[in-house]
Amino acid sequence: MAPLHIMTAALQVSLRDRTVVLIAGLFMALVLISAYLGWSATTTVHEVYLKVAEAYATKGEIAPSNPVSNTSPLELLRNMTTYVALIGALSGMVLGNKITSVDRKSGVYPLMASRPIGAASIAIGKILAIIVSISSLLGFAALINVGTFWVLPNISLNADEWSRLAQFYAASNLYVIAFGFLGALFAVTSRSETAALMIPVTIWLTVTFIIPQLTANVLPMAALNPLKSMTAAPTGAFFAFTGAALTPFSIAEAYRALSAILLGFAPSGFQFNSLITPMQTLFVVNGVLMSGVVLAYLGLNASRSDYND
Amino acid sequence: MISPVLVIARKDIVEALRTRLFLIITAFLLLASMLSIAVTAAAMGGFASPDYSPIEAMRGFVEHLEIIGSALAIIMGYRSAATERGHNTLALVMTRPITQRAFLVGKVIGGIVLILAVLAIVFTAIGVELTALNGVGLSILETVKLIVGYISATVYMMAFFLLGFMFALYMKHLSHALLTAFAIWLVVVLVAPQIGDTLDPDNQAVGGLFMELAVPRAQEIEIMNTFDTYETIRTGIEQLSPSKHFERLTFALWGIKGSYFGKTVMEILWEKLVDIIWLLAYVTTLVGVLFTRQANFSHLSDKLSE
Repeated sequence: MAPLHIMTAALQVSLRDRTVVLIAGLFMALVLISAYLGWSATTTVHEVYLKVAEAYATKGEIAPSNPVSNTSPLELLRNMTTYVALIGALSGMVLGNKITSVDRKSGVYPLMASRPIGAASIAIGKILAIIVSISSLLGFAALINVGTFWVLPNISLNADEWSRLAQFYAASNLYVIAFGFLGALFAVTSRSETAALMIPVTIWLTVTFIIPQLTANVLPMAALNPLKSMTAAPTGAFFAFTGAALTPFSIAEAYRALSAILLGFAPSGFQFNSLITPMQTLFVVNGVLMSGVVLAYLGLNASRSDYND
Repeated sequence: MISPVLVIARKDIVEALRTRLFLIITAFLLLASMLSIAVTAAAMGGFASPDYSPIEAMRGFVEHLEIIGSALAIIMGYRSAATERGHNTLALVMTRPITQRAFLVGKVIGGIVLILAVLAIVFTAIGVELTALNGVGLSILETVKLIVGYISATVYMMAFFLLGFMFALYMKHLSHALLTAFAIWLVVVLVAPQIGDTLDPDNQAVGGLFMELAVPRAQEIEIMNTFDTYETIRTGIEQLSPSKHFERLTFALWGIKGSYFGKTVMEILWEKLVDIIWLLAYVTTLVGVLFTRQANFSHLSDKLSE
């Protein structure tokens, strides 16, 4: 029962935090507009195509096929990939940090440790709180997307597309939870509160912007564009080596690849350049970070648990 | 006797240099920037072409400055205010014969010097790396362009320094201040340019929509002129981002955007005057808010812990 009590208490405290509400609200706002943005861009491309086709017809030539015909309606959600990778990941880090740092900041961790509750139980309670809070956040996001599909004109999903939408949200959930664990890991192990926030942000910057450049020459700003980030890596020994060495651990690239496949905007013939599948990468990273949180709690000295800033 | 403003500025610089986190993040920007040049060289197979200026390979570097540089500046600004609140020295400083204005000027000068120093290290390292990879030193014109870009980067980072500083100085809780500054950073550095970029019809196909449809440039412009409102909204969203203005200015200066190739520095600066004005407007507005707001420092110093 102890882990459940700890989970409930952690959830109550974190939900009262205004920063958590602010960042979660920002994420929800972007979820709300993402489908509209996708729809707006796709409609504009279709209108551009009609003008191009007209020009071809005037010259008596046949126009190339319409790039947006025969595409899945799920493709309208392609911007979600970016918003989950940016604000979703930040929300995850903030939630993970708040859920675990509150006891150290308020000085109650020594009191908790003096009770007959093991550090492992505390860790499990906190991990459950992270999973429940992030899954709820992503659950709301999924509901908003389902709602927007009903509202947008001329859009309907078949059974396979509903299934792929559910899988996309499962993958997004795993991605954000990984950052929740990352935030928690450094909230437990760091000596200062500032470092507990800054180290995960630095790791997130590395994972999102630096590693994709090393493995596939995806420039930092291109990493924000779901389509541009799917370009193939240049040939040559450098990228062959970095791709093979780093891609299996590159959670951002794994998430982007999986999303592109599920939402149907991956280029034809696209392959994830790794020995393990993108979903396996997400599971492995989550497993490692979750174990890290448990070990961090086991190693946390209750008598010296206060932050030094 | 040294003026109180310079004493505060000097103290701030010395304290920042003692902070391990500050040095780690500076090293992070340096590493990311140098890696971006190396990766570009690897992707191009070297800078051997005689028609190629090595500073054109700095696109990745510009983008790292946009993202990591601005994040670093927020941390620098945050640290500058947080250190006074953390040590409860803010109220004590205010009991001395020093005005709030002098205190803020000292902090801002300290921030400018630190940003200039960090960027001097990064730009020098990039210059050396480009020379090493190219096998030939940078020309005088290329060096001048780098220096103008260095000044632009300082103005750009200063905007984020002020953002982090103001939130850490005025918000009740420090951790809220850092996260709120980062939420704003996400919106103006990453989300606004991302929305503008992904709404661009040409970006809706890998390799470019108009390329895929084999539409010549003149016809592309003609077609896009019929989407006037859409394009106005799209570019309007991009205009909100200081990163976009910094990017446009440096892309033009360093020849990353081909249409500026062969133009003099003055011609480029004149053409990019709007972006320069936008960047200066961000900094001026933040400075204005900082100096017009009256803070209750004794109240803040008591509210460090939550």
